[in-house]
Amino acid sequence: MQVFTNQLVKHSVFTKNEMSDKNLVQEIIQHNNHQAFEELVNRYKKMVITTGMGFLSNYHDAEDIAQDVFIELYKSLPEFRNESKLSTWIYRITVNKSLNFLRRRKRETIISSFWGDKRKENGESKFNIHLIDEPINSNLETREQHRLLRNAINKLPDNQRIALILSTYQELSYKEIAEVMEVSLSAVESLLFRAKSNLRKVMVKQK
Amino acid sequence: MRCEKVNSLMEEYLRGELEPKNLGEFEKHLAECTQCRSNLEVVKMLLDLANNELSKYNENPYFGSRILSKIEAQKENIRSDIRIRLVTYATVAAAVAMGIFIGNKLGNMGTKVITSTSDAELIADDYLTQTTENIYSFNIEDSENSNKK
Ligand SMILES: [Zn+2]
Repeated sequence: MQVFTNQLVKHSVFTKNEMSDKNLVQEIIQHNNHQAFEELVNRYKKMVITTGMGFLSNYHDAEDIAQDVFIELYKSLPEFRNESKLSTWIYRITVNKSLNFLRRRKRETIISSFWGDKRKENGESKFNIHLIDEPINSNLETREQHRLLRNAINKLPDNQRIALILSTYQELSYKEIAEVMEVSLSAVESLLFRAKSNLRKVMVKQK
Repeated sequence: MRCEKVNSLMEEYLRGELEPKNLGEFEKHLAECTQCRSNLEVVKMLLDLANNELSKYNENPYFGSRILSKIEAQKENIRSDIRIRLVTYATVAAAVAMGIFIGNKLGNMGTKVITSTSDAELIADDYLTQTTENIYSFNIEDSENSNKK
């Protein structure tokens, strides 16, 4: 099988759609094959962007982050040693890039709110940054509920938030989440239990 | 069934994918546990929110080629970046190997033995001047846990 694939590459009958991730990675590292990298991007772009959306709740920011993720992936492929699945590796880069983006945005929001107030004093209008996509649901009650829940998710500790987003936005199994986060299965179970309980305290009024 | 277990099955339950053998115990626990019932409500909202947000995903056919042109534009930077990483990686590997070697020597002399690769990696890190941001593993503090300590 291995020999067969190598022959395919040698005779440049490049059937990228049938190539495994592993073979694509080899093509990229050994021959700097951009076509192979583009195939990899196309395979994983939806996964990366939708994961980013889970953290940022904004499609355009998530797409920006995804660009950084794939450039980072391109740089890091020589270090990737097939010990884990490629998707696990890509998830880790995506999570880290998303969290870094949020930290940066938080800093910038603090700075801009300071300058915004200064401008207000000077009679200038305070500028608004569009942080979150408007929910498309027309039901007012549901919209308010989503907004509350979004805020609550954003306030969860990083670990709980990562597990929650991989679980709800990516439908990853507990085992897959454990691999991405490099923690035990029972740690994932506990993180998600605490995440849901924390959200419940905000969302559900106890009778 | 414990609360943790019940919570871990909620998504499957709401998607109608819960195995019949678990269904009985799951529903029995829910009938008796207010908190889990509330958590289930939250999970329902969560799945709804996720569906709502993810419906804004657009398939962008130019995405791949845009990345390639970015990589092309930053070619030189990226190449030197990869070189630095590989050198760093090789240095760490060498230092780890040396750490284990020194560890064994020290062990023979009756001093503390470096028992795991991670010990050796820590030592290796000390000797590395060039540290690149490691974004392939997590180093995230769980604020709840640290509060408890
Ligand atoms: Zn319970």
